[in-house]
Amino acid sequence: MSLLEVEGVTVAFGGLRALDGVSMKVEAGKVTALIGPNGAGKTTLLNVVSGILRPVRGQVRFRGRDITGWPQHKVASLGIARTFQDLQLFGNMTVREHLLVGRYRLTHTSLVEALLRLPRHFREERESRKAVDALLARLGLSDVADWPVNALPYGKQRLVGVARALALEPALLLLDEPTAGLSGTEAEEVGQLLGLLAREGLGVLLVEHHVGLVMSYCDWVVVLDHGLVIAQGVPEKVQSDPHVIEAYLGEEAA
Amino acid sequence: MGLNRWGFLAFLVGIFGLGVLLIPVADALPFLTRANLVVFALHAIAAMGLTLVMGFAGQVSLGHAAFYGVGAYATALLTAKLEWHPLLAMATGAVMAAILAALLGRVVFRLRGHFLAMATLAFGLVFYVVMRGWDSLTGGNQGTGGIPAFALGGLRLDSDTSMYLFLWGVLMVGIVAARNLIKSRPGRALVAVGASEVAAASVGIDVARAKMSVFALGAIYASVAGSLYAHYVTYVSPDSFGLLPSLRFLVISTVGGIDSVWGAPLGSAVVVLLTEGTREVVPKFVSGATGSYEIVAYGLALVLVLLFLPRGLAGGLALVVQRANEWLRGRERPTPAAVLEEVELR
Repeated sequence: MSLLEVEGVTVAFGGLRALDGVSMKVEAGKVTALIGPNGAGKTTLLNVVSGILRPVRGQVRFRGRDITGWPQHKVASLGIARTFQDLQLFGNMTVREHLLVGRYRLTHTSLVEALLRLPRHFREERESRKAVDALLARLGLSDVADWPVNALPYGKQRLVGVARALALEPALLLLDEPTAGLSGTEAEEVGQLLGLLAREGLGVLLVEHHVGLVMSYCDWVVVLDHGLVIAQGVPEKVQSDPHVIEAYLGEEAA
Repeated sequence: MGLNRWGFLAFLVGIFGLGVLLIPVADALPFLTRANLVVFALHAIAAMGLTLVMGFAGQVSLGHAAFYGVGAYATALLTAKLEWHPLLAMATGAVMAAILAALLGRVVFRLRGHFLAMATLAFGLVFYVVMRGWDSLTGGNQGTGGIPAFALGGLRLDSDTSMYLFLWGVLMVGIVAARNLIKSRPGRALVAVGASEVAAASVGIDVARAKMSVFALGAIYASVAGSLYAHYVTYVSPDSFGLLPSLRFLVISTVGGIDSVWGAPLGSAVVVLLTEGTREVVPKFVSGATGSYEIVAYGLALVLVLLFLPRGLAGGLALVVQRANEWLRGRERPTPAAVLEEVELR
């Protein structure tokens, strides 16, 4: 049983089929890349897995459990975290607060407990702050921990998006173009981090355009074009696949 | 607000003291009386609930006065007719308001933006019409009276001064509760929902439930204020809970600043002074002026604040304090907030 199994997923927007019978898997401890030309349906697939979109056909299974059509917050509470292409950070909240919010599924203090400052509030705050400090240190965000995120440079903001997702202590991490807009070195650092996280057992599915990153840090590549899976395999094999070259460069080049 | 725990407590004590000091001088100051102080505190408590709804969950409500009315009518009917204990009546009103808000939230939070505002407006109007029409229970247009003064043990709130002191204490408790909420798991979740619903849901927050709970909490603030209002005036009628009062709460919250726990008291002070000011000044220039022309002043205040202080008076004051701080310290290094401002200017 794989960590994530997507089987025959079809999504239609009006008459347009954004995804057409897509099947793929993500294994725990592996980095899987989702690549393909613009409009191929990569983000759509992430949205289906994370519960933002409901497929018209097909199934999404997490650890063998059918989660097709579950609402977003329930999917997240299973330990499926994600980032967004347009970041979707929380305005002027600080970096530390973003990570504290990220721990929502791991804590249980209720509204009444918080208002009355009952013991659970203090216990969970203490635990959460400790865990958040550790994560901040690991991602090199300690010195900007108390900055509002919209005061940070773009590269750091992207990292906060990843950090918020990691704060869920997820089993599956979905990343939508984590290196878009980053410099070469920054992208390299993200790649190394993903490799490290995978070795600790995390399953990663990322949408990525950075070919170098895909080749050096990904274990498995799935290629989408016009909502169809046109190839999948280890990076070296996919790179030389005639269908993939055709999809990216047009028919003549193939 | 950038205050840490001790700064916050010191500020709270300072504000409380300032409020108490107002009592002996109130009658001597322009546009201010002890009765106005009571109105100011009542509005601040009720509007604080709306501030939570708007500021911390990003939801607009145009029907907030209805929850104020739920508390007022619950107290009026339960204490005057059934002779319940004031606290029990107040608690009953608060529970009813919370349930009503949660039910309403279930329906209206499927809507967004203008539609949400219209739905809350409709709810406020329905409440008004029902209170006016249900003669046998509410006394209809004439309203219902005979409400005893609020009494708790040996404490009896039968003067402006005692009522105001009590309300001022309740307001402080309300501010502390709101602050406790913001600095906690459920409070941060609410702020997150206000900033990005899709991202909030992506960390496991049930967005619809979060909105419902803040709506219910906001209704409780309004209902408690409404109960105390009923005890104070001893008589309630539908006109105190219609569209104009809802708009007044909206103006208080917005002018004061919806992202600060100090916003509602600040906004309430401005609105009370504006109301009294226009009532006293306008007839001097326009002979025979009648009607609710204070609404013009509200509108003007709202436009000015939105134009020049989008974060309200509380946000504006925070900026002034911060600038003064930087000036005193000579600005050795840019603070995050200063960088933030430069980023925004770009």
